[in-house]
Amino acid sequence: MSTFNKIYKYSRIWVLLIVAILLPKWIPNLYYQGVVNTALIFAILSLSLNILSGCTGLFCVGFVAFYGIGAYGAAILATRFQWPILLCLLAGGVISMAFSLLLGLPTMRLRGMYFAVATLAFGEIMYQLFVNWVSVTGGSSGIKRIPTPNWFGVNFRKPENYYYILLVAAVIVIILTRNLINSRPGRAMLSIRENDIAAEAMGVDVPKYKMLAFAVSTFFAGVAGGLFAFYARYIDPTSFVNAESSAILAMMVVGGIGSISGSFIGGLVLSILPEMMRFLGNIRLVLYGLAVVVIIIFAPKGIGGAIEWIDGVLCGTIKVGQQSQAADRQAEVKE
Amino acid sequence: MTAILETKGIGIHFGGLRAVDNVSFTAEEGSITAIIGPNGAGKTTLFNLIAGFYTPTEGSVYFEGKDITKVKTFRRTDMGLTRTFQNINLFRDLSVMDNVLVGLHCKTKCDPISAMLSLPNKRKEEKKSREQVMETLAFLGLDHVAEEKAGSLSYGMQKNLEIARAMVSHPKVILLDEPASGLNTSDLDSLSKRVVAIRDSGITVVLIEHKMDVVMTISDKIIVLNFGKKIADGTPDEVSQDEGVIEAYLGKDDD
Ligand SMILES: Nc1ncnc2c1ncn2[C@@H]1O[C@H](COP(=O)(O)OP(=O)(O)OP(=O)(O)O)[C@@H](O)[C@H]1O
Ligand SMILES: [Mg+2]
Repeated sequence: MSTFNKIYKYSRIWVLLIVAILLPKWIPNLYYQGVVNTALIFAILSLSLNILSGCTGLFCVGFVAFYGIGAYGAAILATRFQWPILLCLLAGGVISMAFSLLLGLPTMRLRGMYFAVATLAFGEIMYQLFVNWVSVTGGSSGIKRIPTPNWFGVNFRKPENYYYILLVAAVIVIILTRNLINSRPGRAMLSIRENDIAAEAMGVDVPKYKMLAFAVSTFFAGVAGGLFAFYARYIDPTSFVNAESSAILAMMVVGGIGSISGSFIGGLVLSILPEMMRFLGNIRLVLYGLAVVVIIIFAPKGIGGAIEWIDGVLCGTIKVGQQSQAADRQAEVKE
Repeated sequence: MTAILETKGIGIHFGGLRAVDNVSFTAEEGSITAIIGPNGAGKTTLFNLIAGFYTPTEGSVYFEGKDITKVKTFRRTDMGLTRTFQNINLFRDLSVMDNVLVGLHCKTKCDPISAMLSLPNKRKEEKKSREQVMETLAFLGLDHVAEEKAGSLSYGMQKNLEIARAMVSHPKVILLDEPASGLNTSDLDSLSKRVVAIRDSGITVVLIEHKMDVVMTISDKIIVLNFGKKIADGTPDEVSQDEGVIEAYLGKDDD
C-alpha cells in the first residue's frame, strides 16, 4: 500500500462530506436545489429498499406505499395534533413499520415471487386508501399547510437550508445501515440472501430475520416520507402512485443490490439524470429506460460494483490488470 | 457412555421410494460414529431427518434424551446440533470470516438496535466473536484467507470452511457429510486428525464417509445403510467382518 493509498483511504469520507456540505453554494438556482433535495430523499428510499432486497433477496414492488404511509402519518400528526416535527418523523417511520408487520407476517413464509405480488397489491391498496379515505387523508386534495421545522432559528423553508436536514438524515441512515450489516443480525439477513438452507442450518430463524429486514427498511422509508412531507409542505396521492415503486426499484438495481454506496448513488443519479436531460423532451424517458437496461446487462453489480472497484484500486487493495483470485482458484480446481 | 443422539425406527419415503426405512441407531457422547453405505443408500437423507430438514414419515429423533422430531431446524442448531453439507452450501459472496461468524449466530446475542447504534455490548461481542472465528480458522488452516470470498476458495478449502462454520459454536453434536470427498491423500490425513481433535474437544461426531481407510481408523462405531435400511452396526472390526456388509458394500464398491 503506497502513501497515496493511505491518504486516500483516510481522507475519502471527509472529502465527500465537505463536498456535500458545500454543495448548495455551487448550485445555480432553486430549481436545481429542488432536484438535489428530491434526489436525496430518493437516495434514502433506494438505500432503505436495499436493506430488504440486498440483505434477504426479497423484492418489494410496492415500496412507495411505505413512503406514503410515513408522509401521511407525519403530516397528519403535525397538522392535526401539533406534534413536534422530529417526533412526527419518527412516528411516520414507526407507523410505516407497523404496516410492514401487517403485510409481512402473513406473507414472509411465502416464496419470493408471491411476496413481491403481495407488495404490489399492497401498494395499490394504499394508494386507493390515500385517495378515498377523505376524512383522514384529504382525498385527492391532499393535506395542506404542513409546518416546516424551525430549529436553531434557521428557516428550513428555504430549500438550500432544508438540504442540510436531508443530508443529516441520509448520513444517519447510511451509518445505521452500515452498522447493521456488519453485525450479528445483519449477517443473519445476508446469509438468507446467500443460501437460506445453510442459514437455517446455522440457527438463523429465516422468517424472523426476513421480517426484521422488512421492518427496518420500511421504517427508513416512512421517515423519508415524513422528510418529504415537511419539505413539500403539501402532499397528495400523486406522489405515491405505484410507478414510483418501479422507479425506486430501478434506482436500487442500477445502484447495485447489496451495496450501500451503490444504492444510494443509484437513487441520486436516477433522480438527477432525467432532470438534466429535460431539454431532450419526451425521448429522455426512453433513454432513461435504455440506460437502466444497459447498466443491468453490462454491469450486473451496478454502479456500486464499479465504485467498489475504483475504491479498491485507490485504496491499493485491488491491482489493476490482476485477474481475480477467484478465477485462479477456479482454474486450480479444474486441473 | 450415554447416548446423546438417537433415532428410533425413523423413516421417510418419497413417493414409492423408501429412502430411509426404520433406522434406529445411537451416537454415544464423545465418540465418532460413522455412517457408511453405497451411493443412494439414504445416508444424507438420514442426516436431513436428524437435522430437521425433512419430517419423518415414521419414527422419532432424540437429542439428549428429548424427543426433537417436531423441533424446527434452526432450533435444533440452537440446542447444539450442527451439520455440514455434502454438496457445499456456503454463503459464497460473503467473506470466509463472515461465513464462520454466521456459525456463531446461536452463541451470540446482539440485537438489531444495539447493532445499528454500535453500542459497547455489540462491539465487545463482535471482537470476541472474531477472535473465536480466527482460532477455528487456524485449526482448519484457513486463517490466511479470512478476508476472501467463500466462493473463491478451492474445493478442499470450501469443505474445510463448512466444518469451520459448523464447529465454531462448539456444538454438542456435529454431523459431517462426506468431509473427505474431493480431498487428496495428504489432506485426507490432516482431515482424520482434525476429526479426532474435534471429538477430543468434547464434540460428538457423526460422520458420513466413503473413504474406508478414514472410517476404519477413526470411528468408534460404524452404522451401515443399504437401500435405506440399517444392515449392520458395530465397531470397525465387527462391521468389516460382517457377511451382509461385505456383500452389500465392501466387496464390490470401495472408493
Ligand atoms: N427430496 C427428495 N425427493 C425425492 N427423492 C429423494 C430426495 N432426497 C433423496 N432422495 C432419494 O433418496 C435416496 C437416498 O439419497 P441420499 O442422498 O440420502 O443417498 P446417500 O446415501 O447420501 O448417497 P451418496 O453417497 O451418493 O451421497 C436416493 O435414491 C435419492 O434419489
Ligand atoms: Mg449423500
